[in-house]
Amino acid sequence: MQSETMSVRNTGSLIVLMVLSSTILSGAATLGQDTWLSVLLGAAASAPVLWMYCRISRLFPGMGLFSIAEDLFGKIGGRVVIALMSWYALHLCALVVRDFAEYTVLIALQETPRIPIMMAILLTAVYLSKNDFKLLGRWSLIITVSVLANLLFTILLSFGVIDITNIKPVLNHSVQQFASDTFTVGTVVFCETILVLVLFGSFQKGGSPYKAYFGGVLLGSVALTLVVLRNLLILGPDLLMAASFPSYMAVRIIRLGSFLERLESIISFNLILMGVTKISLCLSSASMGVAQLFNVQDHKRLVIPVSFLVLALSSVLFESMPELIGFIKAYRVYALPFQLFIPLLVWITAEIKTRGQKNETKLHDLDPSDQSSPH
Amino acid sequence: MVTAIVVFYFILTMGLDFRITIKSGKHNEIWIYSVCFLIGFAVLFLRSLDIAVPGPSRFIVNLLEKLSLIK
Repeated sequence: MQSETMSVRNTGSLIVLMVLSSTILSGAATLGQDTWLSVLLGAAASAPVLWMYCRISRLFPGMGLFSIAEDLFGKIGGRVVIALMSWYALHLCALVVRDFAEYTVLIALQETPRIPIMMAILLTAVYLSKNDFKLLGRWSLIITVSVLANLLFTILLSFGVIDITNIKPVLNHSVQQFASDTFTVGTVVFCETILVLVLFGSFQKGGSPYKAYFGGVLLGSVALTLVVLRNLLILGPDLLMAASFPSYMAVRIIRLGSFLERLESIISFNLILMGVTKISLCLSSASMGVAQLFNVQDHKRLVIPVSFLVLALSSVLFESMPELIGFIKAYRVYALPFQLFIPLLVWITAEIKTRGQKNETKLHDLDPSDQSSPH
Repeated sequence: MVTAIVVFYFILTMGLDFRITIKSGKHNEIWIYSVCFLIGFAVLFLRSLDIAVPGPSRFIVNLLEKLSLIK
């Protein structure tokens, strides 16, 4: 296990990529010029849930979510939790694979069938998942640096084409609309990081999960806000809401004289790399869950068969991109048990159990008869 | 063409990876491996022939609508 250790910085990078990879779904935004505010509100609203994830990890250092569940709820209860979370990881993986296949088809390969594209994306993710988590962590760090550098580059170059009036009128939506979009952002962008908790069995010994989670989410949400602002200021609120992939559309407009054009390839580069990372994380989580359910010692042995299931699932999920965007409304409710209720149950049980153990230890220390006892 | 790619992918992954699993002789691994591959291949094969296979998304949306959790 020692060779698989993921440092705080690498885990934080993985969380940044999890947050930023959701930009592919920014076509689901409904608040127009106030979308950037909903990103910030979503981050703030998710903070207590993220704190709960960190607390679970703090109570059981060196253990992943699945081992914690089995430890707390016993063999049967633990396996129910593992089965549910594995299904979520599998389904999320299929959704992300399909998102990126739709993106590739819509942007570049209109005539290509989706199945071969999904195979190509999945094979890369399989390679990452079949290696140590240490590799996934290092890969995440390198990709985060590259993605953030590309983001800054496109923002600097966009100064010539932005229209600052596109941001007005600010706060032009009802509280109900804000609440709805904040809820969507919270579930789709931030709380999907629950799957990172599955890998916490390989987290750096003595490292702070709070630093990894909150550092990653802070950097990710700032970068995501900048992305949304860049797209808004270039495209305007109406085009921002109409476009399926606003980042691609916005950066397409940017050009530096006549020698630096077609910068949208940077966006494709960013999105595909972030997508591969997220798919790899989901795939690892799903195969770890299946391995634990069926008593398979090495979860890496199940990465390829689980990827086959993901491929099959992603091929039957939707017929088109609008259907996928429409599913987000249902997804935010569907994801609640996995992102909130199950972790909440795990957290409460963990608090009760660890406090009970602490009290037992205190009583044991205070009892003089115990000290005289040979046992 | 897509069907051919699916069959090729199935044979390639089975040939390279499943062989090692069978050699390991662990029955639970072989069992779960076979189930994943066969379900995956069956669904992919049908999809590659453009035959509709019901997915979980429609079921989830219908269920949430029945429970009045979404409009």
